[in-house]
Amino acid sequence: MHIADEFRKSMNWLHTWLGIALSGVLFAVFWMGSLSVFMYETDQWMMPEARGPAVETVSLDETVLPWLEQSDVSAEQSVFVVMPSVRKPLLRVGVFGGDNGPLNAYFDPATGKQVERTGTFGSSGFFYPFHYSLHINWQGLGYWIVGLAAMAMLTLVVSGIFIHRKIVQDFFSFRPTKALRRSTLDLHNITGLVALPFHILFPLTGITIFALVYFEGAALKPFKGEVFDYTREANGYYVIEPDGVAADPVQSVDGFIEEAEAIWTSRSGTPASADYIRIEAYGDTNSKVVIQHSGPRLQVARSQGRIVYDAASGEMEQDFQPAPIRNALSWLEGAHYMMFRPYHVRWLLFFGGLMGAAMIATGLLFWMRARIRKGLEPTSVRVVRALSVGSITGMIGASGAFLLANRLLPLDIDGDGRAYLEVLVFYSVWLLSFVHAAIRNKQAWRDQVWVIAGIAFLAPVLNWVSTGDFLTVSISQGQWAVAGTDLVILASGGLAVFAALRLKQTERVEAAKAQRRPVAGSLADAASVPAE
Amino acid sequence: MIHTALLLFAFLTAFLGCAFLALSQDRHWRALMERGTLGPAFQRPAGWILIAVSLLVVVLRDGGSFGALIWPLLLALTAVLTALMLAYWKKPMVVLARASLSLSSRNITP
Repeated sequence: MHIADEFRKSMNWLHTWLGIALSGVLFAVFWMGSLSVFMYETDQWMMPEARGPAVETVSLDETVLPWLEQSDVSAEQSVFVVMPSVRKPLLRVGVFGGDNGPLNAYFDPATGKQVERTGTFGSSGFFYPFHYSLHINWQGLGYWIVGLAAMAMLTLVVSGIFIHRKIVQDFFSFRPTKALRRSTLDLHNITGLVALPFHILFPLTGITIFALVYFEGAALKPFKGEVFDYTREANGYYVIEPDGVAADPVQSVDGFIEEAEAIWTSRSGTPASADYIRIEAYGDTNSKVVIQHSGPRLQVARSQGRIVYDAASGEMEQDFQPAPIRNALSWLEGAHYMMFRPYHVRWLLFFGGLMGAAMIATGLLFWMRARIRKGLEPTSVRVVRALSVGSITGMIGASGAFLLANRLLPLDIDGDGRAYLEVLVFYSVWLLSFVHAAIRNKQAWRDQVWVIAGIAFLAPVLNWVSTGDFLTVSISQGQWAVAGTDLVILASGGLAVFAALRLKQTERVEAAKAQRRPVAGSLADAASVPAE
Repeated sequence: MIHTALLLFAFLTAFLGCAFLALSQDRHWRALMERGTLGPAFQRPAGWILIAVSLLVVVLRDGGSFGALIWPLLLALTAVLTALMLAYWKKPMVVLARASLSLSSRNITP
């Protein structure tokens, strides 16, 4: 055998088995990651009180500080404030640590009044962490599974290029009228090849972002294993301990924010705003105010500014800028974090993510059909099909059900109860999709695609009924986050209907073929019968 | 206004670039035009030039840092669009193929 053929064969083997082993996880990661591109927009859809119009200037002195005074915050607790922005219209303040924590409050920057927020984790609290941790927090196992899948993805991309025989010739070839196997492979090749830079950049940067998890030993080696020494060097963090002597709580932080923003803006030459504020050792003589800036608006690279003020004297204690070696990573990480503002970039990245999800799904489908053709016993077919259907259409359907639950559950469920109920709906629907697929076998795809279509057409209606923001209303008010979410959901509904009709057509064609086959067989048998 | 126009222009040049590259391949050309004809030879260089123009426009409009994200994904989008149009909506592609035939008179077959 020729050496190139031998190599291609071994690459094929690697591509096949690595793909099957991890495509379920990879699809979940790409699907949830794609949803996370618009997580704050989806949050606005899921939390009607967080819908714009966005006001970006707000006084913390008039909102957060009075609330802190009323809330019995102690010096041992940490206070953080997430500043409002176009994408996140509400001002959020949280307190953790201590006996009465965690506390959370939300303010509408337009009025300065506290608002009761819908009990939900939203997209940023559920879909987003799903894409890097799978919500498996035990021993950080979820992170490790995702990291392994990301490594596998890089291997899959490279081996995929080697086993593709006609890269140039087939580059623009999608042949939907040919056999389903051919058109599936065409889709797999197109979605894989055209977005190749994306398919390499995202797993790679995903791994580097969690370097401290995946390469803990290597990252901490220069710091003799001390995490705090590492984070001080890399991010400027240091521990602020209370003196234990009570003092008047901090009276004003607005001036600190203004000064810090002016420093960053003049230093980087692009508008920089504080997005995260911390108050440490509240009501103590050693109280500090930490102003952070991590989300640049008009650049890809992540910036990391941290300026620390002494709460009592107002003196600047630290003005942290990362070392140049940290900056080398900041474009790569910034591309993955996507904290920047331009929406056309965001849409393109969303498209890239969906290409990844489509590539993984079609790869799995292609393998499955190839196995069934080669002859697989019916029980195995059922199991393999149930796993594939559940991890693809089941995952999509469960995400849709999560949104429906958000609009349907009563608002008066206390605490985090409502948020956890939404999560329960997600996992129940997901689990059911596997069971349903095992029972319905061949019809499972079509059934579930129809369910997805139903969910997609129902969601904008529920949004309309529960908030009054029908598409025409949200568009005319310039509520693009809400209108965009509705439109994307509707578009996926349209796509689901198209897919369902296409699946039905394929079934019909295959049924017709299956009917013809025995006839042809019997003719052949007849011909081979020796004449007497 | 000029910003939107430039983005549209980058999209159009990238799309036309992909379309010309596809037309320069015999398989797609034959599927669109009569059998036996050959596509004009200028299509392949024209495709690459248009794609290079789209890179230039993107970098001028958004800078290199954003450009490095935008351009590859813009090409991905237009390449998928090209493949989908070749499969489902051939008419504009046929128009483009005819136009490129009449642009290069020497390749017209009787």
